[in-house]
Amino acid sequence: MSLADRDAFVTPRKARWERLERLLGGALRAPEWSELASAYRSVCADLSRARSLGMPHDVQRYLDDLSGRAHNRLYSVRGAGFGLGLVQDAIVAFPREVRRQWAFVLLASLLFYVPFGVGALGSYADASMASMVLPDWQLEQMETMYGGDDRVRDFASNAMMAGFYVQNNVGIAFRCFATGALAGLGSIFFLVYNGLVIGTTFGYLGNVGLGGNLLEFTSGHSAWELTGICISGAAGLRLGWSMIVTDGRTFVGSLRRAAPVLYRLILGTAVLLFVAAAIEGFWSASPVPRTVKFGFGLAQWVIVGAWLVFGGRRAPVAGLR
Amino acid sequence: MIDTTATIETPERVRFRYRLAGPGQRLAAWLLDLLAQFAFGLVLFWIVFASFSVGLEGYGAGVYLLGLFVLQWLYGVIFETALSGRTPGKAALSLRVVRADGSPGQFPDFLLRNLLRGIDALPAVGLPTFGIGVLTMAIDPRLRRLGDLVAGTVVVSEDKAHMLGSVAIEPPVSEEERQAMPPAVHLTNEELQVIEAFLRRRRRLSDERAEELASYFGPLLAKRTGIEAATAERTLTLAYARATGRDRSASEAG
Repeated sequence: MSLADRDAFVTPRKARWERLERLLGGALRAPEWSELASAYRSVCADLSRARSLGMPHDVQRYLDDLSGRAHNRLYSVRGAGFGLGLVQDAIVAFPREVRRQWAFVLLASLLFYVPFGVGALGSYADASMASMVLPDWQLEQMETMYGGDDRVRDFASNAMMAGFYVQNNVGIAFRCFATGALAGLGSIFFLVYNGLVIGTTFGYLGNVGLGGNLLEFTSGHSAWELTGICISGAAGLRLGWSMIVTDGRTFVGSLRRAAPVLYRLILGTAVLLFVAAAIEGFWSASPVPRTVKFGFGLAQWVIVGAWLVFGGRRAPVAGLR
Repeated sequence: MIDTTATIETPERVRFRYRLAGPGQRLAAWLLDLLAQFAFGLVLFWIVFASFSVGLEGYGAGVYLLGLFVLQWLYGVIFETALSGRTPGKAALSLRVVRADGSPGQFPDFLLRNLLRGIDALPAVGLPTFGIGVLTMAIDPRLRRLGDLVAGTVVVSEDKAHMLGSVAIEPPVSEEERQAMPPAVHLTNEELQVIEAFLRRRRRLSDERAEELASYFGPLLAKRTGIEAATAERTLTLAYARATGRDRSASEAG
């Protein structure tokens, strides 16, 4: 590799490379985009040629970098991902995935509802059991919360509580999923823990005679929220499972295989919990008669159930990502 | 040399190398993002404050709590999706998240890698230690944390590489030096390349450092070729000039 070769290679191309540098530097209009595309292709050709000629390291590295940046600029234009595909994934692909992962959903539901039942029945029969799960101040706070007559909120407080439910409940679900990366153990913990706490709440308030108030408040959003928590846990279990049982793949390969499944489950979970937060914020504490609330709540269970059982059955497979 | 590059083949069948972002760069970007999140948090807090003063505290607090959720969980997802793989912190450090095959990441990839960030930060003793993240980065040849492994992404550095300057023969070879040199100097191709790389970098080196580098090879070359010069650097320069025929000034060459 002599000097003449290097200069003979670099000099005639340099102006073009510098032009590409400038294109990468700023905002582009349509004609400049097409110029970028052709400049990218020619710099790729230069890179291949520089390699086969054995050009010095600095030239190759410069071209590597330049073509890499041009590549990213050019191809990052493709669908940003906040579009129709996202809606389709959330509404159509999600229930299909829930049915495909039924074993994990079933396991997560058991991990949630069995402690729920234990907490509810135990505390209902014996209020002292509740203080083994929850501190006394929290139990007293719950009594005041569901015992008073001023349980109806104004609209502004509704907005605040909706914000709170998103922040708190979606956060709980995301954590329940993410800790599945600890070989599934985190998800198991959060499912059992949340099941026990929520069950105990029901049992205790039932024991002190406020069960009706709690049921009235929670009936509207319970379908969305409890299902959301169970499915976030199922996603976490699926993640943990893919780390333990790699099914003949490498560790990373096994994780990658699980990724689209996890994505659909967690996206649907977010939808479930956002709907739950909206209902909990704006409906659950409204001054609607109790029977209407129970009817509404029952309808929600039917809607959620129908969505998960029948949703996406008729969608063409090719249309799904 | 530790290989911190990843080779990627594009649909055009061109392979190029990306430089992977190291833990230090990524930590710096994360800290910048943390600052940005804090700044956004202050704006949110101001909204609540303003809403209290006009009697809309319920709405203000609702927006605040919703905003906190978005900042905590979706900051990375939203920025990386909107800015194709960059958050403000990553942009400041010229980092970008791409898929392992070099194609641009999309919303699903960004969602997964960001939801799992908390796991990479574990174990937390008051403050996050990033133990799991650093451990997986140390094991994985592509420096990926757990969230990256699941999402199939890598973080690459897009810092610009610069080509070396032109060969500097300064000052030009004088008449006396030319007379004193042996008529022919034979250098191997490898030797020529080493000297050339040195001369190309010369302008960015201090005089002392240049002489230090040149003294590894200069005396040997002087002994072999019989070139006599005041410094080792000049020995290399003269040998290179003679071997490539650059020891004649431009006017003579024409």
